[in-house]
Amino acid sequence: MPEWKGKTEGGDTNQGLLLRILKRVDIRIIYCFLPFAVIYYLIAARKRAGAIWSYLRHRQGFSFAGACWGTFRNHLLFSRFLMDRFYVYAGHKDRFSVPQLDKEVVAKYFSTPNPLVMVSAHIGNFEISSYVCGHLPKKLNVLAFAGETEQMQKFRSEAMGVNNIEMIPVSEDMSHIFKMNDVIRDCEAITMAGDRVFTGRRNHKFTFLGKEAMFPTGIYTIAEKYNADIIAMFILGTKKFFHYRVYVEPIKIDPEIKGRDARARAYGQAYVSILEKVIKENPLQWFNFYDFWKIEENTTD
Amino acid sequence: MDTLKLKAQIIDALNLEELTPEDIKDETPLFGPEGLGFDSIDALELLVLLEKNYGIKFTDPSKAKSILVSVGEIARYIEANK
Repeated sequence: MPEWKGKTEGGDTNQGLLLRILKRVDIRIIYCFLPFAVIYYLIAARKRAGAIWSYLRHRQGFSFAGACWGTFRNHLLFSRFLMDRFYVYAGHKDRFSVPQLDKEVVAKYFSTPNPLVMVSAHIGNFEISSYVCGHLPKKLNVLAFAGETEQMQKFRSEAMGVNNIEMIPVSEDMSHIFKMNDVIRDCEAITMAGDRVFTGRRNHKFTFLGKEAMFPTGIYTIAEKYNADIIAMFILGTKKFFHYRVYVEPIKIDPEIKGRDARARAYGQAYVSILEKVIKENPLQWFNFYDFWKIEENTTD
Repeated sequence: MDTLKLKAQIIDALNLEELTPEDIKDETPLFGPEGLGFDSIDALELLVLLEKNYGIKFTDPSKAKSILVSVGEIARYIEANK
């Protein structure tokens, strides 16, 4: 699979060292060093940088030079967002502001007896909302790759635990499936990335930024079965340090569409349309560092 | 237990239009390339099916994994837990 493995760079030792530094040093000092780290990284990981350049040049219509500069800025933003997460792990979550969810949104989706499926993407900095947002009326479960080091998982669990948020690591033995079943049945909220394709037959092709790409649709079938509300939710960085904004939009389809597969496809299309709109407005916050539009044989629809 | 009925329910729940109950042998593996090639969402669909149709609710993932291996194994478990 041509995909990022969901693993944050650096081993336990480096991540532990970074955490200790961030406990004592203002993060803005760390920000000053990020451009140098990014330049090194762009040279050392040219393939990943190339995937972003190609996305900006061919999918977002940047000029050649604009795509080069955009690739640098994309990596700089990504490193900033990553440092922000570590800064939260280091105990500085009060420095950040993510506007609380609109009261209407909370009333409409978090205070109903239905389960809630929140579909995010690898854009912006979704994870930080989990730490910074206050308590929600529903328990929030976050489906995430289990590829991270134990250290990272510990950081995440500690930071999330205080807000009644639980991490469900995706694992090869499918134990996450049983947890997902419990979560949806118990009418809790679950969030997952809608832009990660797993091998299997629950994926469909959709035109995204002018070219076909594969997106998963299986979760929409399950969500419908449990009568879950389905929303797209993204946390996007702003020009201001320490400040993020929330984007929420319900994923709706024509109720007249019949057939499970047709409805799952329609939900997938609706999600892709929302994602396209958001990423066109925030082109530099795309953090899928691989050829997203490359379609593998074992994931065809 | 009538495994044909269970197979029909699985085909319906998982939308396996290309299969008939007769195509699925009782001991055909549900997961993996040598079997029916079910994926994780299929597993979730199976859990929903067993809970809604037979009132079976798994609390132990490892127990569930040892049962969701073939239609025959599932049928035996349903029969034993009637």
